[in-house]
Amino acid sequence: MSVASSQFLPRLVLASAIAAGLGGCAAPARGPLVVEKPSSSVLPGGMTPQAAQSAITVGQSTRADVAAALGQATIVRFDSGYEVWVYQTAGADRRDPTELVILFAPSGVVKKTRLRLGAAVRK
Amino acid sequence: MAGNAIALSARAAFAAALVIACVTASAQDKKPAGGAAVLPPVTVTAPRDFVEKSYRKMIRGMDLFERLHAYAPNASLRFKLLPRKRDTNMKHIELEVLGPTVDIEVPIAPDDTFALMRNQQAWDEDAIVTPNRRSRSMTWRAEIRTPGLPPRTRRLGDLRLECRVGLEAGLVSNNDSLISKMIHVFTDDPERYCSNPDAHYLFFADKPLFGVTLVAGNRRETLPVSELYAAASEDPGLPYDLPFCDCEVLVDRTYFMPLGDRSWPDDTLVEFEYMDDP
Repeated sequence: MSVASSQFLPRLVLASAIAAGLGGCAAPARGPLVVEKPSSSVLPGGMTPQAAQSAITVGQSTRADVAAALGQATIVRFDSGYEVWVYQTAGADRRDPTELVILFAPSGVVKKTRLRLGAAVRK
Repeated sequence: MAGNAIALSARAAFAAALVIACVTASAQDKKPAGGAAVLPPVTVTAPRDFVEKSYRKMIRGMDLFERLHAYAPNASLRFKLLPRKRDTNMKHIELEVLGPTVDIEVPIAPDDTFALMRNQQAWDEDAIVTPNRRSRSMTWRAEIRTPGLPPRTRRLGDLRLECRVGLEAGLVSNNDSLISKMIHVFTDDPERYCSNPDAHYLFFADKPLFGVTLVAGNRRETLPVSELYAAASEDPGLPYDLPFCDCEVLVDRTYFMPLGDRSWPDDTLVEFEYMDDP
């Protein structure tokens, strides 16, 4: 059995609690975090993660530039103004994915990128 | 000072609850010869609403630290206070071990950590450990750090022990008491939980994170982003669940560790890259 997080409520447990009338109706609120997860945040066909990383210029590329070059990303937006964008390769292993992670500064310009290669790619 | 006022209120509430309990017990004892009660039953709720932890549980956490010291043979144990709300004031916190008669002040270091003293009276009185802050405004963690590590690194064995001590000491906090009990079903055995490959104990880095990399000898592996930010990238509903998580305002600092993956030795270094690094 999967062990639940000690601090963070697994959604299943939370859903059960709400269904039991314990949680009531939580109104969506803008809190310290926003997550956007499109149906797909896979790199464009034929583009290697290395090529995708090369298409981005740290300190220069904007959100619009990256979206135009690489398409929709999974986005985690913090109230500090920083945003993390994540792209994966097609068929990536969820536990050991190949992924390109991009950090946008509050100014909206790329501050850092990180390429993580899953075991399937490292071999 | 406001802080003192809150501390005094905490003491007064504790004393009031004790007095009420004694009066109620006394009233129940005073029955006329016929057996009818003299006073009707009264339900009183003490107006105490402060952050508090069980002294006994925290001592048990310290005991576990001693028993499992091999995970972190050169480290010492402290406890750390962390904010749970954006407006939590972490300055000038006054922390006390408080019981019906015992009242011991616990000094807090500038990094918001403290060491808990062993005191037989506090144990006997089942004291609480309480800062002068409202409930749900803070969370707690065990802080176990091997000295002399390179900057921006932690040691995996230290973190493995933090998980065990943190759970044993009852430091995990959630808003809803019933939900906490449900979670407790999973976490009342720290060893079982923290050695599980799927353990998701939330750790908090010193600053907002961009990356976390494990290094053991020539082996080097960066965590997927799903192991950061309380797995936010996997869960668009996380913002709605945050009020139930003690990571509520620390989500950009959170990370999971492969605690149960013994292919990573305890001496594995955990390297952090922060968002604001150049």
